[in-house]
Amino acid sequence: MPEPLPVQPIKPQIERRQLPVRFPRLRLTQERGVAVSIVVLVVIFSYLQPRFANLNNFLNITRQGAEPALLAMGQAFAMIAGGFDLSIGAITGLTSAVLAYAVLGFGLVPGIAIGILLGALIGLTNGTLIARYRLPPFIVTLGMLSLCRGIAYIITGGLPVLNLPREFAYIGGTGYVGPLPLATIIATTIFVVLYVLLTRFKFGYYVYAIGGDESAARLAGVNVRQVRTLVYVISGTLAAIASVLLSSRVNSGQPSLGDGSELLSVAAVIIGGVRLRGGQGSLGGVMLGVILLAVLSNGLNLINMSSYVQLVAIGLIVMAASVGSVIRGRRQED
Amino acid sequence: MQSLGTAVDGRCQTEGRPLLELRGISKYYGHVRALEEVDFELYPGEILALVGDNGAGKSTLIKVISGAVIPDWGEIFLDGRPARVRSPQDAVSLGIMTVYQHLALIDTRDVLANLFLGREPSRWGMIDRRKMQEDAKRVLDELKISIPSLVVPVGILSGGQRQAVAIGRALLQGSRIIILDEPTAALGVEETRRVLELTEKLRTGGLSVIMISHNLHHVFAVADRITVLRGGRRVGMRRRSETTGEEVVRLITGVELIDAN
Repeated sequence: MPEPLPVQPIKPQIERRQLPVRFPRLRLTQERGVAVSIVVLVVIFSYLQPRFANLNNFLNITRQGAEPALLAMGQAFAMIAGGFDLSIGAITGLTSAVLAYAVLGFGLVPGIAIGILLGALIGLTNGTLIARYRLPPFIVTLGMLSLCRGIAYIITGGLPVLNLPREFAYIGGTGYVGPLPLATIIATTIFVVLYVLLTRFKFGYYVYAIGGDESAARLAGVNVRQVRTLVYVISGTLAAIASVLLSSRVNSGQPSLGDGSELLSVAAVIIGGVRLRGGQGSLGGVMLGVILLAVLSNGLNLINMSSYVQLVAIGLIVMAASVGSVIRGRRQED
Repeated sequence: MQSLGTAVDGRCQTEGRPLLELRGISKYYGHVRALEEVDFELYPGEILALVGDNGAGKSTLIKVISGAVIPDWGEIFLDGRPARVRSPQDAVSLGIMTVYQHLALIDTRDVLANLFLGREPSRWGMIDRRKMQEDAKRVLDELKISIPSLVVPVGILSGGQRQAVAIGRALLQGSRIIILDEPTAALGVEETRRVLELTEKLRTGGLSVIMISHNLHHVFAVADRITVLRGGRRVGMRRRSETTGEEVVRLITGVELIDAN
């Protein structure tokens, strides 16, 4: 009786595969690839520069990575939803200038609140133009980039806003809880909240859904316009929070803050394995992308490589990651 | 029924109150007539085939029922009461679910997410994944749908499996009326047989099914009644048991009018 034999071992296997394994195997490969790269980089830098491999430096990396992480998470929401947000760097700059004036005028807490609210409002404007009037995200956020940066320079005259209270520097700079930088704790907390939002909440499911297939989502009754708008509110708000941390670190309002950081955030998102056309990707992967870039930047600094070399290295990594992403995409479409 | 449109002969009598009733539905795109004065009834627990040539108005009628198109004139009744179907959300909440030709699944998402898309069980917006898995397993077992795993992206499934996921979704979302748009198009012989079996199981479960199909073999295999559209009008309605393929073809093409003259 050879027939029943192959059937029996197959059945429990199917049962096992129906257990809540969270991610398809292919995506894990990408995340693992990034994780391995981080380990390799850490080993290499530790070998080249003993000062790299100590706890203080690692904590320093997490603090330096806090703002890029916030920006990359916002970018990840926009890209998973099938869009783009090029304005987040400029939002950082404008928010920095406005919140500095607001802190001087209204005090610390109201000033910070005004800054974060401003980021949310700019995001709402982006989202409304993109979701309601169906303008391309690339054009809308490119326009917003220029608009925000311009206004930031106009209201500050291109100069930093100084004389902020010393307590302000605590948030993103001098503040520590035990051994951990406050900025690290803030970014990690926000990561956990957004991770849960994206993987466990209807809203998160719909972000993936509209990025994967907008018309299918609409037919299923998803409020595409609302979800898409909220995605840009999130990226704008995160940019403003990043601005609070950055402004705090330099304890001033800087209209030029975050220049070019929008592209760095795209780099981290792509390295993290988010599908270029949206609909797939994980915040965990994006965080690995951020960590990879932070380790790279910190390590290259410590072995006295110029920032020009860093640019080249980042460029090569992004290209390698996007090649990987495209290959995976093709494999999945077969 | 006395309320049938003038172009329809009254040969098809059905007992009881319709689950879904459309009266005098008209839709124009500019000067193009998509639907004109179309009446339509769907009874509980039946499979109704909707046939007609390309451009006969089948898709528009389906879109009216599923809320994707708002008619210029006409009324929709559900359980005898006027119903507001002005968006896909309205239709879904009334228990009307459409399984579209292109299936409307999100390829990048896993089976589970697709099964519950738009209607995830949740509390305060937080998704109850365990309930999703239990419900999904129950319904898929009930329909004897076999899918390798609930957590693979739908994009890697076969055409029949995707159709099954789409139908499973309609069931899971508590639909009473399921609209199948060309359910057997682009499927192999074996998969077609399975999808037709699945359609019959839906009826056995007490659901009403509207099936659009170009394939009269498939229509005659499962449908209880056949409604024919031509040029945006309803030109015929027959019980399967009381008609023939030739008669339905005549209604679709309109050749009978020439014969009558």
